[in-house]
Amino acid sequence: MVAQTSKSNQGSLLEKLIAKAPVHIAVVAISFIWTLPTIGLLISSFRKAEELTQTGWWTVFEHPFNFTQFHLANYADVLTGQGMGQAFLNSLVISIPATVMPIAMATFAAYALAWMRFPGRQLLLALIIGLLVVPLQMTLIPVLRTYNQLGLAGSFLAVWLAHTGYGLPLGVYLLRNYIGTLPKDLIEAATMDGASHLKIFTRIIVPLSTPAIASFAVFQFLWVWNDLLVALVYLGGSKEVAPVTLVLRNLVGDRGQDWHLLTAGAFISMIVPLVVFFSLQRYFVRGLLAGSVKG
Amino acid sequence: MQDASNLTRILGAIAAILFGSGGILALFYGANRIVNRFSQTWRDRILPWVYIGPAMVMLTAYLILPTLRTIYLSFLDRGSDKFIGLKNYTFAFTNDAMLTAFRNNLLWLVLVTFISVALGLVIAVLVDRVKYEPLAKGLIFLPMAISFVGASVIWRFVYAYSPPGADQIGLLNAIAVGLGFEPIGWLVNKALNNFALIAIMIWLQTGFCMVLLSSAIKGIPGDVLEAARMDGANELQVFWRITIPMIRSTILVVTTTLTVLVLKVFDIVFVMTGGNLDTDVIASLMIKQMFKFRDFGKGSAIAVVLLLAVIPVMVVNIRRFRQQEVN
Amino acid sequence: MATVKFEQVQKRYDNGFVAVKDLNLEIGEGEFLVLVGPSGCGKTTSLRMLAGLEDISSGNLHIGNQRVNDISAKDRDIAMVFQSYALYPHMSVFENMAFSLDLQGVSKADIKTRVTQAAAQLGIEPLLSRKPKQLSGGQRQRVAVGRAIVRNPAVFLMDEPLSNLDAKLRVQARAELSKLHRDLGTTFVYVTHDQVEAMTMGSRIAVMNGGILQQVDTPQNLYDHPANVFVAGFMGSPSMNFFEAVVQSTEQGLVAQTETFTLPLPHDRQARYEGHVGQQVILGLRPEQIHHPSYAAPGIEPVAVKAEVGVVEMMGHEAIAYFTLPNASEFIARVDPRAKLMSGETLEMLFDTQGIHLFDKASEALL
Ligand SMILES: Nc1ncnc2c1ncn2[C@@H]1O[C@H](COP(=O)(O)OP(=O)(O)OP(=O)(O)O)[C@@H](O)[C@H]1O
Ligand SMILES: [Mg+2]
Repeated sequence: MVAQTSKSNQGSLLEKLIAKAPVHIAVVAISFIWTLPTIGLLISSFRKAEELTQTGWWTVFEHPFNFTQFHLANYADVLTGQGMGQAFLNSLVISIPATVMPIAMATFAAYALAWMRFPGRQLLLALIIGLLVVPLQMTLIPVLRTYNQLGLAGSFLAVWLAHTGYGLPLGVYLLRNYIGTLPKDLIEAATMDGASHLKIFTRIIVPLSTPAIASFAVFQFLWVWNDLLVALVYLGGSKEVAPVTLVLRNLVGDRGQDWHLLTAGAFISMIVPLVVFFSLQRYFVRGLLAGSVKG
Repeated sequence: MQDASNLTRILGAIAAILFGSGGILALFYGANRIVNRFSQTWRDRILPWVYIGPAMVMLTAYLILPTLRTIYLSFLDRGSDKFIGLKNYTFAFTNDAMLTAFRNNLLWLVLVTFISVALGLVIAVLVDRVKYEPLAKGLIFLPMAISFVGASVIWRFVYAYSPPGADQIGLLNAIAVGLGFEPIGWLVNKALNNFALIAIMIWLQTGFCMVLLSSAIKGIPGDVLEAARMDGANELQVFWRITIPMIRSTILVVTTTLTVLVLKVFDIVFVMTGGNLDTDVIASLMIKQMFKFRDFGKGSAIAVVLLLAVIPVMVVNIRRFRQQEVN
Repeated sequence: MATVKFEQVQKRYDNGFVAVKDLNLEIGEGEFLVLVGPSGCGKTTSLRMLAGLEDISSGNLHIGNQRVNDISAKDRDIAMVFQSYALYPHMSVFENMAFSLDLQGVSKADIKTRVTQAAAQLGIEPLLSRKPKQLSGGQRQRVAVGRAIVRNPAVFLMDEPLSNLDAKLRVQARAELSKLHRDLGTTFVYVTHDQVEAMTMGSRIAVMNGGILQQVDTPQNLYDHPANVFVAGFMGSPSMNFFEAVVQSTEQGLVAQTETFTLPLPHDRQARYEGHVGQQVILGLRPEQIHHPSYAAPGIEPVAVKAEVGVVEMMGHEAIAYFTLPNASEFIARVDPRAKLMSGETLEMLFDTQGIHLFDKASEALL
């Protein structure tokens, strides 16, 4: 009797495993395929230039513990020789203000749209949702012309402002959705406690909206860091101000077969987004969810 | 020397960051101060506009006015000197390169949206059943963090081609050769290159679809699924008759988001092939007109075509928003 | 401490709905006024107008001797306890209570003394460093009250502050709030739909219905002399019994005659009803004024009315019995639990004629 149950248990366990095997195989296979290209890039970026162009990166696994096949020279080369180091700094200089500025503007606007009464509120919201999908391309020529007239083209200020403008629709929209769901009672309680709109904003709204603000921050930061089009059009070719994406793209154009430079350069351009992604993935996903699902 | 200039650069960056954020906050505080001088009624009337003002100014300056101006420019000639009617649009809809771009964009649109959504859905359903779900999702979602330029480099390496006989360093060609085929010029073969580019976008966007769809699937109440099973539905029937209908709105959202993204796609084409060998899309042609041929009329007209293409999505979104506000 | 005066105050919402009509109400200094009424009658709306959270469509509102229609909530020196408590989730209990003082620019040391003192008064000192999430419902309620009292406001507003508590806690909190009111001596305006809360806590009660103020008086007066059928029915549980009747003049004096029984009207009120002879009226009698023949209270002026016992709810200290009259109309009596009523038996219940209320049938106003 006992033996029988245990046997049938085993049977069902085995059955379960077999029944689930296709699922496991599929999930593992897809994850593997999805990761492989990035792994290849990462490994290659540490290989020596000659070897890199002679043999496939997977050949390193023939001697997995032979560390002499790796070196850091590619990185040193691309950072100094190809201006990637400078570009990395430029990317930071571009991305941080281009994230902070729209956050401040979007949060204030979102508060007004969610909790202040004024005529035209609904219309403004509809407008912002419409602007959400306007292609950047629509704006490039006029903005560039204006920049040229003002002598702003090629300056950091030009891209900060442009990214702020382009990022605002999503920011306002996402934050208004979040701030609008805060309990009305809280805001009224603060009013009764003697808080002005500004105090309500700084002491109640902002602290309570940090998850949404963080989501938008992560989203906007990655967007700006990864942007090529805006930098290409408004910054032009000057190495002084070019961000990593622009330098990497020029590298592809000029040194398309120098894989030791391309792989290291690509990885440098990816390192910040990857760190942000892994440490703040929660916010990033939440930003995506709020931005899309909620609608 | 290098170090010193880097140091000033870093200091400059910090100053810029402080200027950017501090300046904005000072702006709001200052405006608030001024408004506080007014009487209560006026304050209530003005304050919303103070808060919303900077955002509105930026939206107007960077999106609304330029859009209108681009529409206007699209009716002028290359140097924006003369009104030429619909000539630019005639060009946009008859030029060979444009027609190829239209074809390519359509291909992108259909393949990227369909495959990413379908694959994302399948993965979402599958990972729901394994214990290492977060890891698997993280790996598939990871490309979302990578720039189009970075992804392009990654995939150029995957598609790398060496002549027959030489060792292949590109993963795909190594596999092809391993299977006994000739190496393939993925990016130069006109029958294949567009698909090679589209694959990159699918690689990038499937994770996005998966994450959204997965959270929608998890949002379906368990008892609904159980009720269906009690009613005798098998897993496949549960999937088609319960899960899919219940996540329909998310599928719509994902699809529209991808549609807009794909219509605007530019970086991948620009970096991988530069639009050569029949791989141009609308957005990359627009940049070409702008910078290479310096024809602002044609460039504007092409941009307007892009705008026209996203208008249906815009309408859907605004409608959806209206409905939500009513509820 | 301050008086509050509503003068012809009206609230019309944006959708055109008039939630409060011509409200005239004076609240004295240090009074505990309870606004009571059924759901949707405009209590919250009135309170929110007083708080400054809702615009006043027309009329005047005074706090102290200042007209406050155009003064914003934050400048009215009023504190409010919300039904949801509305504690700031990101602040500790201390910070919650200190928030308004901090905004006023009170010094850190003063804030500390005042918060600690208020916390001591409410017995929530050990909770000061906790976040609202870490509190029970009853504790949250006290913190919400604490947040209001540290400010020492001119008027206290409370909108159903006890409705989220369980029955036992509610009784306790009721007593605590009454005590707090005595200790502080501040004007309280308290909204509830629970007439027990109204009766036990209010120094005066304002009864509202359909946006119209029905009657304002002390609890006992309201109970004894309801101004109309609505107030009579609303105050008291179970509700007052109503019968259709006609006033008749007989040799023994005036009587109220219903289809099934006739009650002589009290001697001291004969003159008052003189003018209504022959008129259709509504006769009201509270369940506690209908007695079981074996357990009638002394000093009543009873008239026996035959009725059949229906459902009997035993409450322990009393029994609530439902009776049916021969014409199928029903009434409720609150009887001594020792009277072992049997469902279906017919009894001669004693109606205490001193408890009779007569209302005009058309206007429903007290005669
Ligand atoms: N913003 C609004 N717009 C339109 N009508 C409203 C609004 N707020 C409340 N009302 C209506 O005004 C009436 C009075 O509402 P109020 O909240 O004052 O009722 P209440 O007496 O507090 O009821 P409850 O006991 O249920 O809290 C209700 O009929 C309500 O539907
Ligand atoms: Mg209410």
